[in-house]
Amino acid sequence: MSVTVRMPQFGEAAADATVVAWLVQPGSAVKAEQEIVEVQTEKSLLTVAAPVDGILADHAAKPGQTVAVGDVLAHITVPGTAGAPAPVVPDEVHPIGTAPKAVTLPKKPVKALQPLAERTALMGSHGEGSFLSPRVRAKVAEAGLKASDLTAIVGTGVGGRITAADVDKYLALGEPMSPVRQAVASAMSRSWSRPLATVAKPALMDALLAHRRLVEGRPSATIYALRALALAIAQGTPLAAKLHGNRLTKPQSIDLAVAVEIDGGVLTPVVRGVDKIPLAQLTATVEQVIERARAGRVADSGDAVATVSNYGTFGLTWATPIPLAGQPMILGIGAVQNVPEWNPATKSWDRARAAELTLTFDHRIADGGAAGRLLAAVCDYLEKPEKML
Amino acid sequence: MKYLEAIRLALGEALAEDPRVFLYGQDIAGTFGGAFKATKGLSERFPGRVLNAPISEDAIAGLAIGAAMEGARPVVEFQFGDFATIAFNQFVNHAATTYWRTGKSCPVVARLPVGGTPGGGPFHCQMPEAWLSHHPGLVVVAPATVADAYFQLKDAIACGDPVMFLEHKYLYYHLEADFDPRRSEHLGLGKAAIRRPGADCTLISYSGMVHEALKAAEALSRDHDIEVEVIDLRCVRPLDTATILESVSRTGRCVVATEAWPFGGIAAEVTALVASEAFHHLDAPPLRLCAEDTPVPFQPDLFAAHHPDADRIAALVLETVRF
Repeated sequence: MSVTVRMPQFGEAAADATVVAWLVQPGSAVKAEQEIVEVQTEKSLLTVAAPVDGILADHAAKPGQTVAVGDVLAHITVPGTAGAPAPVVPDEVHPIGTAPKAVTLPKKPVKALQPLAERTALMGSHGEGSFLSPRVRAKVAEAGLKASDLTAIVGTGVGGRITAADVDKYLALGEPMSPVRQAVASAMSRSWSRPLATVAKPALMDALLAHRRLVEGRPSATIYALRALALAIAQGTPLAAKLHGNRLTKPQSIDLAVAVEIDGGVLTPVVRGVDKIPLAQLTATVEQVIERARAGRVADSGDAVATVSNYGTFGLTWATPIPLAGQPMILGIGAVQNVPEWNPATKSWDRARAAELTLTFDHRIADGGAAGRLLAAVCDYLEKPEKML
Repeated sequence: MKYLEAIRLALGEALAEDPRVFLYGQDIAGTFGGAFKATKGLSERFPGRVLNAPISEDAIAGLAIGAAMEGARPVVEFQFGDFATIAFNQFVNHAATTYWRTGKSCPVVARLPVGGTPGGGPFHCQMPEAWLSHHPGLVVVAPATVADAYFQLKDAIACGDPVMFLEHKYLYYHLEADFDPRRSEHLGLGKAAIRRPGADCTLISYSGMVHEALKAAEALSRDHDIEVEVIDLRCVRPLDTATILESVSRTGRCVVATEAWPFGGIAAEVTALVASEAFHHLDAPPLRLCAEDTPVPFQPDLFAAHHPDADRIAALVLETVRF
């Protein structure tokens, strides 16, 4: 194999140089870095070194001859490499006779999980939570993913990190939820970020069930519960408030939402000023509000003081519904059941009808005592329906 | 055609096409043809329009600025960009502010041979783009290809603003390409070019370092299956922010490689741009690779250690991709 020695660029401005004297004759052995020829530029006398070990094959320029930068000075035969592959030294022009090293890179990551020197500290990828790059964070936020969703994503990045591609893959799984389901999911997730607690108390329903036959439109248990809750709130409760950071606002009007099941989701239309609507009119008002909500014409519910959920209609006796994000509480009514009631007069058990009431509330705003007193007031109205006409 | 020959071709065409153009510099006329022979043969073809100057960069720049304000299109040659320091006052206080102060344009072009060559040392290897770019009013271009040496020089001469034209000394004789001014792509003065497409990391460079960036990109593709998008800024002031941000938004990663010093440099400017404007597209901190923060050494081995190369660029891209 033969390696070409070319006139190097001698710094600065020289475009060529003149051969002064050859230091090695053709046929002689040369070592890499050994000076083989003296050349003169406009400014100085310099030498050119052999790039490889071998035998100097020829002198391509005679002393006195001017050779342009990059033109051939000599050839060096590298013995024992006949038919060998590509030359060791790239056949191109190089400054000061030093060929740049071929680009070689480590095959394995040298420090896969080390932080970049003094730069950003690298968070652990397992255990204490995965590092998410700004791009992945933006993607996660855009998709509305929660921390709980991220635990389901298998990261393929360094150290198991979640990459943007992993998020894309995760988001492409399955079928999209219906818009209604997505809205409910979003509302529930937002609400679940608070500390919620539930208090419960059974209400005897015999008086109410007898009373409703006498009222126009035969109000349902839900209507009674809406009215009872409105009147109980009107008596005053710290729970009727909205939290803004560390400040509380009190509602101007006792607006209550009512949970209505629709295909694939729940609607919570709002009835305004329930404490001002007589029981006999409330059924019609609520039906109107629900009808408008089903027709998709009413979307608001966030500004109500509370929601009433009659899960008893599903035969459930007890549940802990989640109040909507903007609301401090939700009142639940269980199914009416036959219960034994102690009759002190006859000293025996009578049959009574009762429903469990549950009040799930934002524990930041008030404590169990206040919630219990509010629920007791609701219970009292339901057990004495004539008080809430 | 070599990079230097493209510059000579552009100068010759500009002289032929526009009678307002004249060249002014030290030893550029006659047989010497300038320190790097860029003007060789031009004084014979254009008598009286290729003029030798005294050894005073201050005077050269001052004369050219005055001529430009009077309607000429002067192209001055400095033997080395390092000596632009001597004309700094003329460039930044006068050329850069003329339009803003007087409403008159100052179409002067300063050809500055820049960049490191082994043995060049501290006075003949510096990169002046950071301090020139700092001043509003100067256009600072740094062509990396034979085509850009030609087109950007012609565009610079046609430009109504003062243009600092940074020619890389190493590319003068070492960069050769098939180039036909009638067929090659003309990108305009200030647009960045994507020299190699890639999806894994944006590698931003300009001037001579573009070629090291491309070598690094090829090595990363070959050895690591990492596809690097190489952007040649071509013009560092004004900066083509749209091309940079668009690319980073696709790759999520960014490395800037220059042979200038790190402190307050173009690489710092570009990484700051990416960090502040493309933060939500990033998967890793934007990183930069610059020359060592010392004067440029004479000694060739020290020079090699001082000067970023493809190996070091590739290693930093790897670090970024594996962040």
